[in-house]
Amino acid sequence: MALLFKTTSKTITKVDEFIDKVEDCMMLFREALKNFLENHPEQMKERLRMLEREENKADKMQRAIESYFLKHGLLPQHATDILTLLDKLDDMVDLAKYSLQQFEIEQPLIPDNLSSDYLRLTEISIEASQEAIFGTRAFFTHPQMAKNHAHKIYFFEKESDDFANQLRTKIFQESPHIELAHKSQLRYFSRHIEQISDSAEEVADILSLLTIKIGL
Amino acid sequence: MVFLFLTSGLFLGWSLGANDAANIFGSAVGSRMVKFRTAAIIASIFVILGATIQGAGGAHTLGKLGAVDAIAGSFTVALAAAITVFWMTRLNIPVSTSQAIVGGIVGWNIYTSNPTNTHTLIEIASTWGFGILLGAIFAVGLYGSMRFVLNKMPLHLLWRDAWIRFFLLVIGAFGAYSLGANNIANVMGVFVNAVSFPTLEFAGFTLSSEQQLFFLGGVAIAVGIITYSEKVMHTVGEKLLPLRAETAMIVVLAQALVLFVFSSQGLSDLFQKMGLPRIPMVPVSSSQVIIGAILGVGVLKGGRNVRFNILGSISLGWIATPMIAGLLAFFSLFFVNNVFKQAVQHEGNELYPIEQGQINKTSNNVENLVIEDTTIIEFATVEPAMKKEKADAQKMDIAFYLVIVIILLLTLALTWIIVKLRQQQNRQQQIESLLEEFLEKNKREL
Repeated sequence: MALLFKTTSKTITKVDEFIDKVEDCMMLFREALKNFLENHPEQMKERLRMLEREENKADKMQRAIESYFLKHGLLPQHATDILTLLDKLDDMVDLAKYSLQQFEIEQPLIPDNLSSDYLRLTEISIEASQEAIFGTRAFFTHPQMAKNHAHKIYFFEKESDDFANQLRTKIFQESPHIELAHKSQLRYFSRHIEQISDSAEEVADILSLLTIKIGL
Repeated sequence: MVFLFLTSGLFLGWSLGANDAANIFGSAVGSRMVKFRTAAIIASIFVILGATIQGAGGAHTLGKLGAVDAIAGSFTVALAAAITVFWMTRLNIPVSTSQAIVGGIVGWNIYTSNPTNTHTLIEIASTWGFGILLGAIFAVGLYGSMRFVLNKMPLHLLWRDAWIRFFLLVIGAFGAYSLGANNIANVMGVFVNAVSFPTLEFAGFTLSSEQQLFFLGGVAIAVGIITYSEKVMHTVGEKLLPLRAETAMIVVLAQALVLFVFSSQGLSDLFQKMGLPRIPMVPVSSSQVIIGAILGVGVLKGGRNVRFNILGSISLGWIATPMIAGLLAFFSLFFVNNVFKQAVQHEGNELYPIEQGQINKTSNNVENLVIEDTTIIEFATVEPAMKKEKADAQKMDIAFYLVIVIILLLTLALTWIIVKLRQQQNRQQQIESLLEEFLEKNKREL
């Protein structure tokens, strides 16, 4: 029994640390993107390297958590869903890293009149991801509170979709001076940022499902 | 030879362990909260402890109903109960070892022309019903309290999981102890007056003949748990009663409390001291108490999907099980007595349990037998004249037995018809639902 309590304590610490890492990664993503849009490429690269390191640590933690859950049979009825939830959080970080890497590789030229829109889209997507992180934290202590966070994620995801569409409309219909190839590149970068909120929505789906299952 | 005769009781114990351990650890093992190996070890240890330390109460009550005092008689009664339980389980009728053994004892009483103590019989039967009600009441109270505590004190899900595992083990141990204490009477109760072992003393502990019998019965239950209960636990925990861990914890605790209440002499004495009615020491069905507890939780949750008709099936079992066991015991005793020439009751110096009021009338013939230092059972030595009277009574009153046999056969036939009807009804429902599904599918395709 002492072993069970010890394992539980260790797993809780690992889960908390993992969520902290995810939160750090998402904040680094926002700051790095800000740096890029404000023409500070060196700072952006530095933040991207930090994000890659943190993401690597988060991956290791996730594997340790999986091992604890499966080896010790923790929360047997909900373990699969909980591990999927953590996996989706990790996917969010992976997407953030991938997006930043694309910015670094392609170095897209963001027109000045669109820069603030990209920043706004980033803010909305990050809001969705923050709610996913808060929701996951709340789920472990106040499962019913996670429902509120899931609701907010759905709201920000829709906002992000709407705003990304507005941005793409602006790129393709209101910017005649931009070439089609450049427009196409800009569209893909709006998709990269928007995908973060889509990923947060997947977290919300699992949170909603788990909240119902736990409350049954 | 004694051990050969004990085999029917040991078999009854084995089947009790194989089936009833699932009521205690079924949900925990089925939901993978507790490993089967851990559950089996804990259940085995505590069931033996419960049987040996606290098993006397229920056995004495069964003794009052009918003191089976010859080993062949005890063997036959236990075998009749075991066969009845096996047969009724095959027919999917909720069955209880307690009800089967009571039927077997009454069958022995009828065969040996011993009077059946109707007061004790009514006390036992009413306890079966009260046990289910008490299970429901305990479950409602405990479930409500648990929800209140959990709402007031939010715990991390993983801590909650760890504590639930801990409590499932602790409550499971208590449940196994109570099962041993309460149900050992079904397994070994009929042998108490027929078997006498020399008192054992070791390391400051004394084991009376009765306790040695109960220890053997406890070991048989433990063997049943270890060898056969895993499959039953998975069936109960995953298919029949797939409960959430928290609900399982409450339901098992409610059941354990009911079984403990009906086997604790100390609690009964305390009630009497407080001027409350005495709690009867009666073996109750752990499966039926658990059904009562689940119904209680179901009602508290709003009563949707609660199948109250299961209570009807249980009450059918209350009548059918003792009747069938009684009939089987009666004929088996006849067979053992006349074909194998085995005495099914104590010969020569027959002992009859007598009511308190009768003691004064026969005070010159009263002998006090002290059992376990505390319990005094008073017996009257039968006068030679009474012996002759009894011998006359033993000559079969054909008309009387025929009436009993006809009643029992009718009950048997009725049970069989009800079971067949229910099976037919189920099959009809299945066909109807398949037909509906087929029509629906065709409609969509069209």
